[in-house]
Amino acid sequence: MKPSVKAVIIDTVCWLYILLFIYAAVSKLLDFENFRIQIGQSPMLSSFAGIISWIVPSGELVIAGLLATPRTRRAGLLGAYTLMAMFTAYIFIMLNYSAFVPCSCGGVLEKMTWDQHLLFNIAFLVLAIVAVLALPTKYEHQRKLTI
Amino acid sequence: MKLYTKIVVLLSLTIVAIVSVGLAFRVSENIIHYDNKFIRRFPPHVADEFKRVELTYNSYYFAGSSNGMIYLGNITAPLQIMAFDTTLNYKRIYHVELIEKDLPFRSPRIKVLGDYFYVYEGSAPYLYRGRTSNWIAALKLRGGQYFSQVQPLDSIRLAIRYIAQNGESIVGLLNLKDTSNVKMGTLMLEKQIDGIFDTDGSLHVSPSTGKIVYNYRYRNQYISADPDFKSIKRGNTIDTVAHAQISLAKVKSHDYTTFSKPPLIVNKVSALHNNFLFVNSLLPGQFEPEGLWKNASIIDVYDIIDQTYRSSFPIYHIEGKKLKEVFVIGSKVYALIDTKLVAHTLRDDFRQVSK
Repeated sequence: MKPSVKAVIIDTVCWLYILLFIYAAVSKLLDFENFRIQIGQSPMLSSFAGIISWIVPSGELVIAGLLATPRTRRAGLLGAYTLMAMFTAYIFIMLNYSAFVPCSCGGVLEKMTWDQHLLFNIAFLVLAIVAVLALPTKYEHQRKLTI
Repeated sequence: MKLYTKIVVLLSLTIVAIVSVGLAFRVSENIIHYDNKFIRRFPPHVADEFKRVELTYNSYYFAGSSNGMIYLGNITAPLQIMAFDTTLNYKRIYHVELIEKDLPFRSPRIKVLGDYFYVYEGSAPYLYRGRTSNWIAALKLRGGQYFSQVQPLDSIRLAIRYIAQNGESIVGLLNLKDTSNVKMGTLMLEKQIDGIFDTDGSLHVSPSTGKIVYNYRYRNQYISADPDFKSIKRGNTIDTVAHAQISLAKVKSHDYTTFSKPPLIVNKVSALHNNFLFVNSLLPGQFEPEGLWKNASIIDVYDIIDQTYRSSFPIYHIEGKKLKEVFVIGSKVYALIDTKLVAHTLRDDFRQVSK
């Protein structure tokens, strides 16, 4: 694949993640009390609702910031992948192992069923994997510099 | 990064993500059930109403159950008993007949268990027993120590909350075969302030497990004991009120003690079924929707065998009137709210056992 195509892929994935995370973080923070109650009532992480309600939106904002800065983009992509993998693991464990399944998520995602949500997350995971694999290797990086 | 490195990094991040979320789930579940920090869990639709009956009067109380029927006593018509089938479709009223009638009756109460029923008054004191087949009762106990609560364990043994000489409450087991020799569970209730007000609470028995259970009204504790009071186990409700927050004042001119300010009620009413204790708590926990407490009484469920918190569910107010008494039998939860008897289906989800 041409380096220019790879760059477009990486750019697109990064911006998709930036949009998603900023949207998700802002919608959580705007209705923070409600978000905290939802985590507290979640069948999985209720005991840590206090910490998690802060860590998740701030993590999303930090990763969006990393993705938006060219120098930290690689770290941002890996962070985005890890956070998305955690969300996916959360939904998977909840659907399969928890004693009950809560009613829904927030924002636009409210309209999705949990299975659709799972597919949505997996799609984003695939995007992140593609982008990471498209990241320039040292060799390409050096060649770019020599040009 | 080389392709190989990228794959290794992605794989390890995946493992980190899955393991951390999985671990957090396990730890969180353990904290919720064994070491709860006052975070309630409301699984959806645990107890949904399926039937409501208008009783006309608000003076009814739960008297017990037997063979697929539940019974209500009536404070203002003390010898009347109202029977319902578990679906509340069938209703019948019985009149209790007492063989010895020359006792100082003031406000007798009725308890029903299996084929037997009991009529008693702890301030007299007396106790009758009869069969539910004919509702005729004979005197079994007259005089002796005063008592304030009675829960039959079977046809001859009753758990009773007695009032000791010094006024303090003490739980005992009365055997009708030898009423002069009551087994006292002296270690069951623990005095924190005066041993009278601070130890107040509700006495329950679970005939299926043979346990006697006491749930304090002003502190976050319930106690379960065997009928011989040898094995006493204490569990905590999920709130943080370990010490009764009441202050008392002695009125010297009339020689009585009363609250000098309103007490902090932790557990208002409760019910026991098999090994599950259902407690109507008055204290909101963390991360709970405020609206819920305005519209409902909250019931917390505990397993008295391993002393774990299982889950909570709301019982909604009716026209602003709150839950007065709760009763659980089989997979049904019954509530007395003002003049109404409300039946709810209890889904097994209340146990909250992880798959």
